[in-house]
Amino acid sequence: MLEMFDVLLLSRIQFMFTIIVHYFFVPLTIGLAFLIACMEFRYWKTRNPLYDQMARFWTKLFLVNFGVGLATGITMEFQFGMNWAGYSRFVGDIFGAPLAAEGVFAFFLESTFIGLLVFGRDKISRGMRLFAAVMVSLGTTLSSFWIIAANSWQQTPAGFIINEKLNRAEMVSFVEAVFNPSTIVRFLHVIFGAYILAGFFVIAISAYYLLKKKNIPLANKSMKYGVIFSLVFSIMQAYVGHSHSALVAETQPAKLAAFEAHWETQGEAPLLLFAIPDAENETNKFEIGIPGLLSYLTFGDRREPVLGLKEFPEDERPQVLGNFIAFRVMIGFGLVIIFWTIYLAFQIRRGTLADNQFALKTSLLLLPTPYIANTAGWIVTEWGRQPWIVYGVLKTADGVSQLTTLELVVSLVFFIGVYSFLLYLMIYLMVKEVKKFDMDTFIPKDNTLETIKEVTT
Amino acid sequence: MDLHSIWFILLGVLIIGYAILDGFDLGIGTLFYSLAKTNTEKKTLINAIGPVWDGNEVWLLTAGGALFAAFPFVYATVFSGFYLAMMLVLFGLIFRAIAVEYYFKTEDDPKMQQLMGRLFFIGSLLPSLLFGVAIGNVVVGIPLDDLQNYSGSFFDLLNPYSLLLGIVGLAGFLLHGATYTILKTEGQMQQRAIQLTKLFSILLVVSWVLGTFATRIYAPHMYTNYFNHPVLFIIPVTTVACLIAIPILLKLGHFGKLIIASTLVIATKIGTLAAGMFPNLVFSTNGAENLTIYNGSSSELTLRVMFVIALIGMPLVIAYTTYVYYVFRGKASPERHGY
Repeated sequence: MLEMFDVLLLSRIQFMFTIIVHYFFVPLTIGLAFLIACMEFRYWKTRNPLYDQMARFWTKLFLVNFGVGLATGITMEFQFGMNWAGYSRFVGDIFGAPLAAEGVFAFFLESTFIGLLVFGRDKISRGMRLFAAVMVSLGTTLSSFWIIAANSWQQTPAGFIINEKLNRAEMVSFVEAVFNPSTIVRFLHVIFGAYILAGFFVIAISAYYLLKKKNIPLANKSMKYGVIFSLVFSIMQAYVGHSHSALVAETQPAKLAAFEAHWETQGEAPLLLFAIPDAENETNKFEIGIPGLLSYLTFGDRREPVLGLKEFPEDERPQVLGNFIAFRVMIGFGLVIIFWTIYLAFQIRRGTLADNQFALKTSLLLLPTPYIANTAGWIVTEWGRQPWIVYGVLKTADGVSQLTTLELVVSLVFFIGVYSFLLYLMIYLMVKEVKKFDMDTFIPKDNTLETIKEVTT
Repeated sequence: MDLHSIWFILLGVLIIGYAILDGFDLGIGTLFYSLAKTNTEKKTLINAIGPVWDGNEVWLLTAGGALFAAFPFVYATVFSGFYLAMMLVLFGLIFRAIAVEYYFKTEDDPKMQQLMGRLFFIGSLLPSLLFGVAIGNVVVGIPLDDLQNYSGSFFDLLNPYSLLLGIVGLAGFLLHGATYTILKTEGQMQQRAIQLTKLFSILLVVSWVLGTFATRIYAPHMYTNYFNHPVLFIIPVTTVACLIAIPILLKLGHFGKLIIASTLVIATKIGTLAAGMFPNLVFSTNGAENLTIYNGSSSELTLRVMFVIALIGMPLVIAYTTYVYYVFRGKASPERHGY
């Protein structure tokens, strides 16, 4: 029994570690692919070489990020079978299909067209380049759709029956399983999170160039793209995030109760701003909250009662303290993002941003914000679902593979070693590319030279 | 033909597609130091696969996804059973991905670039060898407990028969990598590739013949389908015919046809095993039931949905993949492509 517990715990730690590192790269891939497609579109439309240089520069950085995202992504597909064989057997009939669809409809698209975009740049026409950039963006977006559909099925399973004889879930409706109650709202939540992150990335690097007084035209223009992106999507994110928590309250009440450290079922439930949850005594040691706000946010009615953790057997409650904190980290950093991008937008409108040292330096320092918010969001999503691996259907403990502790220790040590190296390599190359880049010596090879002449004469 | 058999074939197509396309990437990676002696040659070699390797690897990810979706019990048993071996494959693929993506990016740091070269080599060698070893184990059979879990150890996987199949697999990838290099390069490197093609076609003939006899001894069940349906012998006969054709085509200098021959060798090698296994996917050695396309599969509905997905998606994939190969036709150059 102890042996089994170790394997379970180690498998969970390994999954957490590998997915968090992987998701360090994913949002930037999704968001930057979209931004690059927008730049390619502007270039195709206006023939202004500045857009060409922008697209090329951001593609450079995109590639550094993509390499590690791709490498750490292979792990995820292997890991379901390697570490979660019980889970794979139980849900393969439903969970496997979106993964295969992700391969067929998304991975091929992004991988093939990235090759074309990067290596084929000088062999294909401007129109084809735009098409390739759009396909890469479409591929990354479709990829996130399918994987979110699969993950949403773990949160709000639908369109299936349990086959007792084979001890597994079987699909009865593909459409219901893929478009289960949380798929769409969670897809938007993830995509917006990715766009915001990419926006912040572009803002931070543009700010760096503006501080260094280097590549100024490129940085100014890119800054605008980053700010508009982050602003629009962070405001939309506030709405989507809110709808998502309301949905969680309805479909996964134990999870929401853990997010809010909400123990007693009650009307006029308060929204806690600060608290020290005490799971042993099933209460909070200290709390400051706004009365009735949780009920209001969840149901649009102050008097509506919100289910408390005490409604659920002790072994079906998620860990409270960690979820409570991570949820607040996500929302807190999300608010920072909204206020900061509004501030930047005003600075741009007034034309004072390029000389505003405070704004530029802070923009650079705030780069980790969306990374932290995204990670915290995933932590509450997955940790808040515990002890279930498929909510209400299969417990995490029943999903783990029959492995030995030794095997897990070996693999975990290797993952930590290899992934640390990958992170180091990625940051090293990213910093190097950013420092080295000089738009005046970076001369595109294709017909843009003629275009520059046309524009200048 | 029932849906289960269709999925057996589709899975075979995905695996063959992977072995053909990523096969030359893996072969070139393993031969990195044998083919390329100078820095310029190394860069040329990376550029020969740079635009396409990533798309090629997706065939493996899709085959994995299809295995998960169509035969989840097999996916669960094999991936968890071969845990440490899978980890080695995985780290190989991770290293290879990093090495190819970052080879040019580390240009101004020779030590780092050297490291990328080593990762490219080891990251290609590990999967090239281990894929065959894994298939060897599935073919010769593994012990399964009553929950269908593999009950042997990591070192049991390294049995002589499976290692032999590992060599057969490796020889195929090396041959394919060499013939692709002939097509994509010129001069000295091309000459080296020609020599290596000769060498590996001999290695492949020897290991293939040994493998065929060893299978008769260690995995006689693999011959049942062949004796019941002798027409299946056309598959291994094609392998032999192509192996004979390779030295002739090499002498005539028909390099385009040469790569078709090595492609067919890889396809028919896998086809030969698949025809022997049908309808089994994993043989058991301890009297437990074999995992088959029937007891290891998903429900009819899932198989049908997946079939529709494949029918819509795969023609598109093949169309744009063909287009991209067309854009990158011709010889590879050593220059960095703007990034």
